[in-house]
Amino acid sequence: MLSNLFSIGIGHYLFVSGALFVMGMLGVLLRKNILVILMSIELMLNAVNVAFVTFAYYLNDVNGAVIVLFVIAIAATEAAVGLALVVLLYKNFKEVNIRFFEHLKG
Amino acid sequence: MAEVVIFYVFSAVTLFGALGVILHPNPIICALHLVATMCGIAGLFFGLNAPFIAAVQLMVYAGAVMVLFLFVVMIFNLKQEGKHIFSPGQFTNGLKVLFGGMFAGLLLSSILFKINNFGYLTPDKAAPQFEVKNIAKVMFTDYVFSFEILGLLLLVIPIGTVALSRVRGGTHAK
Repeated sequence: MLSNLFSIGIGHYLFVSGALFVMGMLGVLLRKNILVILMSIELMLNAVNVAFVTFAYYLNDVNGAVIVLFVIAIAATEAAVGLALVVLLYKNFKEVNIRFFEHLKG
Repeated sequence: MAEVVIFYVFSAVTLFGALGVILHPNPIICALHLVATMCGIAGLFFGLNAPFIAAVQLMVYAGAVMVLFLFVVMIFNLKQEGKHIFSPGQFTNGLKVLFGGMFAGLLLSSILFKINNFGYLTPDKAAPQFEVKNIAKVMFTDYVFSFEILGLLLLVIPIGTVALSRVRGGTHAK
């Protein structure tokens, strides 16, 4: 593995992708602020994008790149809806702590 | 040599930014770290011979989505969370970190064990495979139906967002 440190291969990019995904997952699980949780979700989506482009590049296949464009568009809309919901929650409860909402009842 | 430098510089930026997002107490600084992460990922795409996707990444994420995030963070006027940035509960948090670490180990081991099987994968460095023309050809032939549905989604989402932000009260009406 150490001998491969200076010849970048598919594993290097996949490692970065996996690390990014795990960091996003830990952010979603551990953080208290809803906004930071949404940002962590963006991190996970981007980790998947990196994996897609890596495989597309190493397989000489353009399909992965096309799917990445779809994922980017859908992630942008998801962020818009999520932020609208957060704004609504903040307007109603004046609170962004996720623990405050664990007893939501309709 | 250039691709080695590109990879290490941009992956360092990416991972540092991601750490900043999940560890910094101030949400505004978290958002700025996320901008750094997006720029790093765009650099990684550039290193993977996909400059168009890198440009889209920069425009959509580092441009549009992050402006949205920063705008929302700033209209909230959030005060610093101080020491308690993580959910309470030592035991459950330990469990979450443990399972996150196990998942990371699973990913790492699967990459390391399967890496030898990827030896036959040789990217065609000379061919401009991710040019706009090639991407557009596939997008408007094989994926044209998905593209239309995406257009419908992009029509529905703004309407839904505006309708959502005009809701007054709901079941919690005062």
